[in-house]
Amino acid sequence: MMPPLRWLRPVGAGLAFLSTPVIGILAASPAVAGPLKPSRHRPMTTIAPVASGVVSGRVVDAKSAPLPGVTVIVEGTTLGATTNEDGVFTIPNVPAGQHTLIYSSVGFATARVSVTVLDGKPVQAPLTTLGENAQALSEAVVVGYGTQRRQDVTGSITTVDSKQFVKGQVTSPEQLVQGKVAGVQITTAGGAPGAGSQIIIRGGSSLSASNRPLFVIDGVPVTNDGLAGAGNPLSLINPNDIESVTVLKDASATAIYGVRASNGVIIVTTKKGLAGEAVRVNVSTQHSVATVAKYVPVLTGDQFRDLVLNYGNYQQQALLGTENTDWQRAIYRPAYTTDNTASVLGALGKVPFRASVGYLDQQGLLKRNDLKRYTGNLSLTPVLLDGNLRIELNLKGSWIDNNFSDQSAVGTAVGFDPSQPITSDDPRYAPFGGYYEFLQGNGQLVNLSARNPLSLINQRRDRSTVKRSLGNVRLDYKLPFVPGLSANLNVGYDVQRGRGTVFVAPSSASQYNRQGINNQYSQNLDNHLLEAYAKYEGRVLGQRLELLAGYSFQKFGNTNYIFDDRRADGSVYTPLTPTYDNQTQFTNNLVLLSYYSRLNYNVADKYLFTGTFRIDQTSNFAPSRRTGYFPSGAFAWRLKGEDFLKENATVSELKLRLGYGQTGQQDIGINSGYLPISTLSTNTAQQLVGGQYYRTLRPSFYNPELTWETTTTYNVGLDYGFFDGRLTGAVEVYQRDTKNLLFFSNVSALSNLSNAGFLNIGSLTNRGVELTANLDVVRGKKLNVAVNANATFNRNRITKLTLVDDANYVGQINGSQINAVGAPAGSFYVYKQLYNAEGQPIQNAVADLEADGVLNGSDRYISKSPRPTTILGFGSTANYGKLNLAFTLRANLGGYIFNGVRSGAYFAPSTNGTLGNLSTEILASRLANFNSLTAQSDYFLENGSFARLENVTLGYQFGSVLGKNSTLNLTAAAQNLFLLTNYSGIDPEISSGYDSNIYPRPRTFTLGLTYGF
Amino acid sequence: SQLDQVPSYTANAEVVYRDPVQIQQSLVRLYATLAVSGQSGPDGQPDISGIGEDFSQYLRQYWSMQELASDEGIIAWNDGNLSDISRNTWNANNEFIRAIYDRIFYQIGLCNEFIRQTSDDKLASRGITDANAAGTIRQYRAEARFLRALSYWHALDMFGNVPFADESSSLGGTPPPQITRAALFTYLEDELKAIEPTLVPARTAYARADQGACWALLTKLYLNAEVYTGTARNTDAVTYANKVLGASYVLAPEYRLLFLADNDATAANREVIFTVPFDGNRTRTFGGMPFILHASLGGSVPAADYGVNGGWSGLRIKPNIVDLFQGFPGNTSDARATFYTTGQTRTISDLFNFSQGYLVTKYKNVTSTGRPGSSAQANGGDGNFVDIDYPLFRLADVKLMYAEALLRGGSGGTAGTALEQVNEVRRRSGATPLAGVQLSDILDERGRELYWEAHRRTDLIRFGRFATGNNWPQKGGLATGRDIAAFRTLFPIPATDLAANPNLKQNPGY
Amino acid sequence: RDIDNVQATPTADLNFTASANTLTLASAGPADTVLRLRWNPLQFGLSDGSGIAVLPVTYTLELAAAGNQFLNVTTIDAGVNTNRRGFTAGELNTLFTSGLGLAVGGPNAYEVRLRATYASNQSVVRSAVQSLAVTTYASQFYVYGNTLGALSATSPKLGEVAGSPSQYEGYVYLPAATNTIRFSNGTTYGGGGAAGSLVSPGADISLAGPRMYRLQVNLTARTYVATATTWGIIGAATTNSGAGWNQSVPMTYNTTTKLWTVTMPLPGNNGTAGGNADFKFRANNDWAINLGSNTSSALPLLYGGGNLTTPGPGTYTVSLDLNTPNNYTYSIR
Ligand SMILES: [Ca+2]
Ligand SMILES: [Ca+2]
Repeated sequence: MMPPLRWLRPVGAGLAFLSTPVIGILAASPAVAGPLKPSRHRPMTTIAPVASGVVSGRVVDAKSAPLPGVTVIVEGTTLGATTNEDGVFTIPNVPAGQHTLIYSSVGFATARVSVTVLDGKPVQAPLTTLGENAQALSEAVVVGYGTQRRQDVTGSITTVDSKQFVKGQVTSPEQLVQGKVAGVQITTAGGAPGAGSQIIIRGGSSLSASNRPLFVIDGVPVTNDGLAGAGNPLSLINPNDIESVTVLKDASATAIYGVRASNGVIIVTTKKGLAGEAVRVNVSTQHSVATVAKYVPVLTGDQFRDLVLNYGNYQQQALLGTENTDWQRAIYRPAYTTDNTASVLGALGKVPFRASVGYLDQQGLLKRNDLKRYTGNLSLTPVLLDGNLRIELNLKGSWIDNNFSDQSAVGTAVGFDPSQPITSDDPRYAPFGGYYEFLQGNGQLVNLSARNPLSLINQRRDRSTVKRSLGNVRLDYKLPFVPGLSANLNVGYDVQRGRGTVFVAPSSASQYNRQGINNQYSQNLDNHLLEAYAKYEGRVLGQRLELLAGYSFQKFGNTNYIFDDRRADGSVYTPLTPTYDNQTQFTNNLVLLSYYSRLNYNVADKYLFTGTFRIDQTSNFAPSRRTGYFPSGAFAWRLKGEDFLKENATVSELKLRLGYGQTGQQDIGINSGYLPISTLSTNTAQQLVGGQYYRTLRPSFYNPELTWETTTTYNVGLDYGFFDGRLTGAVEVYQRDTKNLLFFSNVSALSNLSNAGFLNIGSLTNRGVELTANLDVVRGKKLNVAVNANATFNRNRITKLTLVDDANYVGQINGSQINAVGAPAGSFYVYKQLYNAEGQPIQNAVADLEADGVLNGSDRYISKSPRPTTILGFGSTANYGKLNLAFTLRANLGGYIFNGVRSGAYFAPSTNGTLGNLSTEILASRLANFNSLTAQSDYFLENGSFARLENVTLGYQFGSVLGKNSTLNLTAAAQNLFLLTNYSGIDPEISSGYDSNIYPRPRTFTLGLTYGF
Repeated sequence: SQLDQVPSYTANAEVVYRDPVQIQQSLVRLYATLAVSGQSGPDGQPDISGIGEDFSQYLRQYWSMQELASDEGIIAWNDGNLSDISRNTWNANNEFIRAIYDRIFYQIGLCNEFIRQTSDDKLASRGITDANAAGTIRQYRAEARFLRALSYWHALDMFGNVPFADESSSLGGTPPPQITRAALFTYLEDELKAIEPTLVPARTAYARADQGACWALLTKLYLNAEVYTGTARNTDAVTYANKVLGASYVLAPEYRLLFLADNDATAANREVIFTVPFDGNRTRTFGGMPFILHASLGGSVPAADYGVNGGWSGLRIKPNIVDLFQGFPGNTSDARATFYTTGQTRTISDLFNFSQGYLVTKYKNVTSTGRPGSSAQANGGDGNFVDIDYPLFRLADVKLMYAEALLRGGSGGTAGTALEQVNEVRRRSGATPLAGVQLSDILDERGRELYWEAHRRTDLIRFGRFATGNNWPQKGGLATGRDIAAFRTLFPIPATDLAANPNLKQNPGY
Repeated sequence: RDIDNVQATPTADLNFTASANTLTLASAGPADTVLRLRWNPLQFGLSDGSGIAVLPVTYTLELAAAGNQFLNVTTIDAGVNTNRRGFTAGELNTLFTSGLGLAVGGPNAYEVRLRATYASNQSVVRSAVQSLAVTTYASQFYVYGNTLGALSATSPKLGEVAGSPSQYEGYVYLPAATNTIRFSNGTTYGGGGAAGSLVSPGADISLAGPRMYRLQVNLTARTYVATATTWGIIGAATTNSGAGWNQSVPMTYNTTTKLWTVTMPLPGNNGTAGGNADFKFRANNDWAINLGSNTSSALPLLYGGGNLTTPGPGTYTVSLDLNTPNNYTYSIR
């Protein structure tokens, strides 16, 4: 096969691993046609004349518009050509005989056409229509309710396809694009299997309402509700089934989703079968081992003994033990994971399909923590009625068995007395399973003290089973009697079930007082979707126009079940309290009902106009307040289309985009908060009056005025491509102003039925710049090297927060952090630590900032923000022959972390009867026994900037060693190989900014094998 | 419409206030505000937010402000700005002051809503026309007004000039206006007198707002009138104290009975005028009485003897109160000296050292016959929660108030009866009767009789011994104590409410 | 770190001035202030000028023998966040004799400096050293013997005589017919060759009993006096049962309560001095040894003090307590 054609291989799932060398090229899609310009394929008259003829033809798209850039090759030969602007191609010197022409173009289904060449005669192939292939998206860009050609896009949209994904042990979809998209900050909650992630696009536009972007999976917007027993509902999707992830960032792109789109939209598209493709089977298996990358530096038993003997009081010294226990190493282990997926892809008759099954068995670093996931995925994408009816059926099912460990052991292990043993034969510890525990003189447990970390893990069994099924049918019908008019219907569901049991042995000190736990929990999420839209595509005033109008109905049901609280032996400890209407379950429903429309107008492929308008209604707000109107408008000027650039060899693409739009937010985690409702107290919150106990009825806070939080976004973007598309990318500048924040705010005393509740109050703004660059460093026959880089600079600032502009109001304080006007959300609010002349901190000395001679809460100041000011992503792929190498490097700069692990390490009061381990820094600083001021001082505020080598992957393609048409790839990957940071804790990547012991992110080594046939 | 979704587990006002049973449950909820912190004991479904339920519980913070800010209690914990209370160095951003402020006004708002929803008009419009039912609900309304007055009194005493709204205001509307301390006093006086005839007679039912509770509160109000308004009202205090003394209350035969797990059932209940009931199984909180008991224990105290699973090593008593019992620990004739000294020092130089300061073992979650409380570990519980009802007003307090009002110049009694009331209180606990009584003796006697019962801050202020002329450890931020500014006799209006309500002005000095 | 480290450093050296540099402790009463220190309190400047530093500074006086380089140091608390401190003679004497374990007498050369501490992880701040010459005195003078038991911390003790250096005085009840005693203040003293002379170690001193003796020791003169005493009450108040100001009404010594007591009617009609309620105590029916009212308050009783008064007419038990030197008291019930 001639080298240039490799670049045009259809991006079928089964072939994805073969295509790795071309990542950089495919991302720079406008340039793909470059090397195949017809001019380079002039008839080569030097070839010896044999019996041959010229084959020509024309290719159009579904709308009968000519399709330029389609590659047509003669099967079994090196002959081929590319269509011109009129969709016309000509292949000279085709040997006489029966041939099959293969038409392919990125974004379209491959077509095969038979021709018979007679010697010396030109042959006209029949007019061929290529249907759009919504799944092969390198060229076509997924937008809300449809796809667009990349060059027609007016909004800020970034697509990451499967070849650019983060590789290695990736178990949840969002991890695929971590570090890959400018403006998107993805922070996993820690290293536990199935842990969730915080995803923030462009700084986050909400304070108390959800900052999560909207996830749309194969056209189904999914719920943000958490599910009992599932750390991360997204992890129920097998990443191996995902073809691409598209991020819509600015309002002109997201406003069509209006509701829930304030924080951006992430569209996940799974792999699909291809029309006309042979059936291929693909099997992949991965095996990983993960280890703890870093431990919190605390004292050894010997160091600790030394310290207490030298500086502790006699009560503390009396508590010392004689052991050297490294509690952190005791609770962790090397964790093994195997991830296996088998898929079948192809077409059965006219029905392209893909089916896959997956099995993941992932161990956590924490002992006894593991996750088993079984997934199944089926998609059918037939095109019927002469291409007029396109059907897409997606069905996904997953089953996860979680085995949770008590994560409180993570923090407990850091602080637990290292001079004590894990277990002891001393009969005093026998009631607690032989585990060492802090006891009082009388043998009873010390109240409120830490419990043995190993006992927490080993004497607890915490299991859940989570099931999810997500499916939809999409029908797209071209109405036969009106050209250009089509109707689209999308019916979907997303059902999740979470069930779990928690058993804690009666001997476990953590639950000893109540004789253990034997409980269960259960939750159902039932979401339904009905969407319909009509689309008209045609020409107005000679230019292309697309008009779309639709309706969407979504219902999110959330049902929780209540159970008796039981002791380990099954006896009831606290009986369940039925609800007001005597049920043992309660249900919340959220209904969203929307009308949306979009107009695209394309003048000469140079001036592109997009306007959208959406009307949303939510059941969360009162009838008079529930309707929101979200308009957007965008204009793009494709300079490359202008005469002065058309022939410019250096500039291969240049497009300026201007966008404006509004989006809405209503997700506050509370349903129907506008209703004045009362709730019944539990059996344990009864009240005695006049000799009798009553369960009580409490009216709740309600706000009938509650309405939409709205974000207005302004975006200026420039897409560029140079040097034949070898360098491509975009520059974006944006401002996002959110007003009527759905803020969980203090309310004035007596004005409502609690001291705080959701109000529409305050505003904030995000400003930022995003840079993206993709560069093909080397394009060669054997060696290809591509790099991609992205950078995000975002500044978040609260501009209003209260009804009254009170100069003395510092803001809403949450522990060591504050939301205050003029500062980024969640800024640190701390005391100013004082140091001596040598720079050593002075014990319990903070500045009296209010200078009144008294130290109190007024002496704090607003310091740094936990939000990084700069987020960088850098990746590269290189291949040499069959060998390929890829890596992803991420960096967050300028964010600060309050090291709560350090500040929490001090001598526990000895009268509590326990000792707590200390940070090794105490050996130098000799800080101990902090008062609360020092514990909240900026001494513990650290620069959280870091750079992490997210993954590095080495692959080798054996090719068809196991049979004709077979493929065999081997990959070796390492994740989290290094972390460069000055942060003193184990990991500065903490979304809240407050480090209170994170489940360590593992360092993972993975070996993978893929076999396709 | 599909867009009208009602959570399945709730009832709305139209349903609740049509049903006498649910109206009663809504009334009882108003009592519960003092005892629990939300709808799920011990926590869950919190009433207020922004601070932990346990820390912010009403009685716990009311108790803490009265005790920790005075010469009685000190707490070893280092949570947030808690130590600023023990040091008398708090400011308007103190989360614990905000907690009691928010609880007080939460309760008043809840009472307003109940009174609003149960007006005669509203009842009639919802079909409750039956004379009996309507009469009962009118009775409830008077109880709600009492509970509202009780919390307004707390606001008057601690914050002085506060936001004010009653049932005539509308919910969710404009922020309420600020009322002056003196005007609030007048409102409370009128309000309590207005409901007095409607409330059930004294001692009709245990733990219910009755006329006795109303009289006791009026006595408190009048006794402190000079602090609140600048004008003494001691004769009025004598009048209402006399009404209590004339009712059928009787001092418990033994001091200890008042603070035991069965204090609802023993003779102690004849002394108690108004109480905050707790129950190990049915009324659970980590605030309130469980807090006072757990936090008072630690060190070498055997917690099981007190019917709980352990101490929280927090509260100790300052030497000022110990010294009121001359001769302690040698002199054991006064049963009220319940101090635990083993391993504890009398004096306190380190706020955070639990071994400094004697412990108070006044409250015990065991019954008068020595049996552990209902949810003690000995009874299959986890030992977290207690049965002890917390006496908010009791006869001994009223006797001492009566004597004090007379000594302050109130008429309606004699110096002889004043002395007799004081000596009755003393004799009950085996203390030698006094030969004569002066005003300053009353403050000391209140310290001996009522310590750990949340009266002290108010008492010290009334006697002019709070800001100056009376030192205690850590006062003013100094280990040995020092005078503090007079403006600290009021707490600051929390900054959070100043930012939410443009009508409010901060108390002077803050 | 890119958060500025604000440094808090003392703005000036710690210096103190002493009111004297030569002390003869015995020349003042134990409660008299003999040494006053003043110093500039430690204050801290902040490197960025933000706020001020509120640090609890604890001051301590350090004392050591001259030339000892403060290796053997003794300390005395000088207060928190203060700028001055007075020391009494008794305080300093105890410090030097017990704390430093130095021999009584002098003058001895000492070195003194002031120490300030403000955080447990910071080094202390010290002033320059000043010298101090101190003459100490023995403040504990024990009596022991065959009937009193061996020398121990609970042995009967004589007290310093106020204003009289090296003189001690006190009452000891000797229970047997014959008793031998010795004295000790760390050094053992007994009788010498001449009667009433005191030498170290000396010989046992024999005293007949059972009787209460007033013992007086003069270490400068090296003499002792043992006076057997029986006590009585005298004065206008005793007129009805005795002879008024002419004759003591005898009291009896109770070996259990260790008090001299008498129960008698006292006719005094009010508590006003100078009337018929006045009385005093005296020994051996003689004014040589008598106890009366102290100057400002009645107690402790003073040799040759003013008249005491009865509370009013009635029969009372009057008790006299001579057990604690320098703190003799009485009660009327
Ligand atoms: Ca200050
Ligand atoms: Ca009870």
